[in-house]
Amino acid sequence: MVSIEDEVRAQRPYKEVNNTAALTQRLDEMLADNPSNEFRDTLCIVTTEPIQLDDMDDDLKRELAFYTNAMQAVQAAQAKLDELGVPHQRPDDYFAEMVKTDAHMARVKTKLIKQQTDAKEAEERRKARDNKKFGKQFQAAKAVERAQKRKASTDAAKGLRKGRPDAVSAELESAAGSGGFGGKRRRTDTGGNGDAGGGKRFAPGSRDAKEARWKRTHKDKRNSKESATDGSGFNSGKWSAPGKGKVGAAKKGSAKQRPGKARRQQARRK
Amino acid sequence: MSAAKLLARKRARQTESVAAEPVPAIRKAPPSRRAKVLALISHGSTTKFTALMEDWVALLPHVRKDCKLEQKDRVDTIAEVAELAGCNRALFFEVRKHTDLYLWAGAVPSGPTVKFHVQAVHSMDELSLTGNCLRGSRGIVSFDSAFGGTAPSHLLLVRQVLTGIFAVPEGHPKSKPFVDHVHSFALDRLGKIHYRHYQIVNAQDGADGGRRSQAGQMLVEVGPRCSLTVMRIFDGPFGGPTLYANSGFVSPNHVRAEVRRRTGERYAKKITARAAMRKRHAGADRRLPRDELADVFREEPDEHMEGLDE
Repeated sequence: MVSIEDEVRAQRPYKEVNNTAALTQRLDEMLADNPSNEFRDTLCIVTTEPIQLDDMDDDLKRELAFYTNAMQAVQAAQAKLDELGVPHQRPDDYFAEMVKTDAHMARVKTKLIKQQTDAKEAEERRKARDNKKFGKQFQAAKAVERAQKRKASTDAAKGLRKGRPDAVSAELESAAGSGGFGGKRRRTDTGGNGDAGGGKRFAPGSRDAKEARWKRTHKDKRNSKESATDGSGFNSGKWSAPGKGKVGAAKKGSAKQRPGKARRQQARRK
Repeated sequence: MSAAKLLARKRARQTESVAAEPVPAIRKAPPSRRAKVLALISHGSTTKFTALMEDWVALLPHVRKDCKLEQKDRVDTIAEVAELAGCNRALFFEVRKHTDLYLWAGAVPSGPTVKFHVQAVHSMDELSLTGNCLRGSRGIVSFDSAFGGTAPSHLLLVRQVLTGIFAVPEGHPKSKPFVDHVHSFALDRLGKIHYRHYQIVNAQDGADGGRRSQAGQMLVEVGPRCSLTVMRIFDGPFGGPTLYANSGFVSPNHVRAEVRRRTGERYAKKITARAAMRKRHAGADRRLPRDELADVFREEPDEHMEGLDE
């Protein structure tokens, strides 16, 4: 891929100047001028290997190349320093001000910890999601199994009833019918199972319960085609003057109209 | 364990370490080695670039910061300022348009000066890297083999200039005689010099993780990071005849202009397409060709039926 930079370079090339003779002369002058050009003073190391960079866009590879190169230089430099007998390592009990303050390091630490915990939490969330997915399958399988079991027991009861007196067979039947084989007792609508909110409750796994879950719990806020044209809720007389609308007229004539304040107070006094 | 025992153990450990590695005696540098580097930045810099300068000032004890250079001041006044401050090297961070950073690194008073374009700037504060080093310790200055013996002369000169700035002279009054970090310069194929700065963790230091060498050292990055492209090498201090100009350098202004031009091209294409559409809609193209079967079902008076009525 040709980058924009390459295209621009091709379009408007910079004039190259390379006065090698002058550069070399300058270099020699600098080396001669500088009295402190020994390794001891500069700690300058040129490594023997170039950096291995095939793909500049691969961050990890790039950083690794820089790291290995710097490491090579460090080893060479430390060997040289040891050779020269220059102590270079900081003793363990030497404490002094660092470039990054403690506050800065604490900030770095919290940031790293946060990154780790975030990654951990994301992993947990992913696991929970997977569990939920597979949990559904597991539940469905269990429901099928339970239904089979129940059917088998009912069949067994039927077989028993053939050779038994009525009382026993009735008992067995009731046991089978009420799901006495590990399943929960099925609640019926007439059995007083309506909850306080007035909604129906169904045995888990039943079709009705599923439908109830799919149903909307409240009306849609937006109009549908039907609701937009539906005028049944409109009360024409509600806000009209008394006597004009239906409701007002009815009120005036009705015996249930509320008496005035004085009358009410009088009635209370009695 | 009692406190007294702990204390005794601690003392024993301290004496041990001191015995094992005595604090090196500071070799006092002669005045010629007490090199100083002047660092200054232009007005109109953003915090990012200022942070890079501050980082280097913190890492290099022989760097002395000066006040900002006004836009109206000429770059070559820096040589004078540096001389007055007793510095023999100078770093000038030139910020243009609040977006581009150019770094002038030069020897004072005789030159030469290298002008770099700085990209991918990340300060220590911005990068959350776990490395840390002593303030004022001396750092190793590492170059990859592209700067070695057979390298082109301009790269050798760049190496000399960078060494002059990043090498802390031994025994410099503000330095500490320990070597616990490394400045690394690596040249890539595009001619960019990548700067990285690592802490050296030695074998006996107790940090875990990371890749250790055979001798047991480990590097932990401290920051900052940046990449430098050589633009020009001048003969004098902050000016003078050009000794080297990099033909591979691309001005960030030209790159931005190209991006803008491409965006403009997209717009121009849209406009011409719209004009063509309008023309098509208005002109003859819009009329449908005559349909030969159009009046097949058209009702026409039936002669036969008329005859019946009468």
